[in-house]
Amino acid sequence: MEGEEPKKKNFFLRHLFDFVLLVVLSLGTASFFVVRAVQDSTSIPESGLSATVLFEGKQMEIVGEDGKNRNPIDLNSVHAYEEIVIQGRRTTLTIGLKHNAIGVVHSGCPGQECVHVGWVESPNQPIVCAYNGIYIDVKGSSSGDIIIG
Amino acid sequence: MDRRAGIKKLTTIALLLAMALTLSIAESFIPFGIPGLKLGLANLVILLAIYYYGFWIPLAIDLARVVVASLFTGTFLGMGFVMSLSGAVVSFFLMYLGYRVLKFFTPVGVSIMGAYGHALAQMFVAVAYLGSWGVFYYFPVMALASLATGTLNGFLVEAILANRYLSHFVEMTKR
Repeated sequence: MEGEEPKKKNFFLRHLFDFVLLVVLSLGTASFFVVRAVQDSTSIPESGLSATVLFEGKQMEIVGEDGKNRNPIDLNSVHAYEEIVIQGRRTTLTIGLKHNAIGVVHSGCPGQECVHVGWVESPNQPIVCAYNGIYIDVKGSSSGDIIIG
Repeated sequence: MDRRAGIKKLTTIALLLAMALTLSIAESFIPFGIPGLKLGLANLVILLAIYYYGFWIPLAIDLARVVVASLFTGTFLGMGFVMSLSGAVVSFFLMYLGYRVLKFFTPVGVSIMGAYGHALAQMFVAVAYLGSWGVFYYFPVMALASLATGTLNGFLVEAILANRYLSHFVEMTKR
């Protein structure tokens, strides 16, 4: 009984520095969420979105119906649902396009993380398929004027 | 070191590597919806090995684990492999630093350091690889998850280290 008492008491004392570290890192990380929330609320562009598809860090060529490269994809000009198929490092990915929204509809990768992201309808959230080396960067469209202030 | 202790040591290392590998491969099948997010159970074995054997043996186990696991899951030399390797190396050195220098931390604190370092290193590799800071979008979620898994693994390691029979066995392999 007497031997047990200090041991129980010491649990928090023993882990004091661990918990301090945990709290500091948690708060530090949580501040990212605050920054993002502020960013998201101020950066919704009126000019719509555009998406850039990168393969292993380089902008890949996506040939449109007119034979020209349509990457970055202007999502604001998409009005009906369409799909484009791109070749990743190992498998193909089917990317769905909607008006100001983009998402990976199908991918051959084992993790399916890119598909689980779903439809991205706001800027700043990227879609990553590490297995295929594909990265889709969603930004406010540059075709319109972006007014800050 | 006598011959028997040598054999015991070799067996223990092989066992630790087998455990790390199994956990590493098993957890690669658990999807979380975010690339690279894992429970870090393999890291638990590495942390345990650090407390048991210090520097070189855990480092060897860690590197062997990353390489062999990637061969099994077919991600060798891909982006996922580079991310795992950098995460593993950074978290190893951070955990060793915590274990050796920052004595006020228990295995829980050391594990948290390792897990957070792992998340951070992976993020920087992803940024370098994809050439965009946009991937940082996923960092807060990854980092918070790493804190949770790091804490969990730390307590597990602490509980395992408290097992006198295991510690005694490991001590025997060092003689």
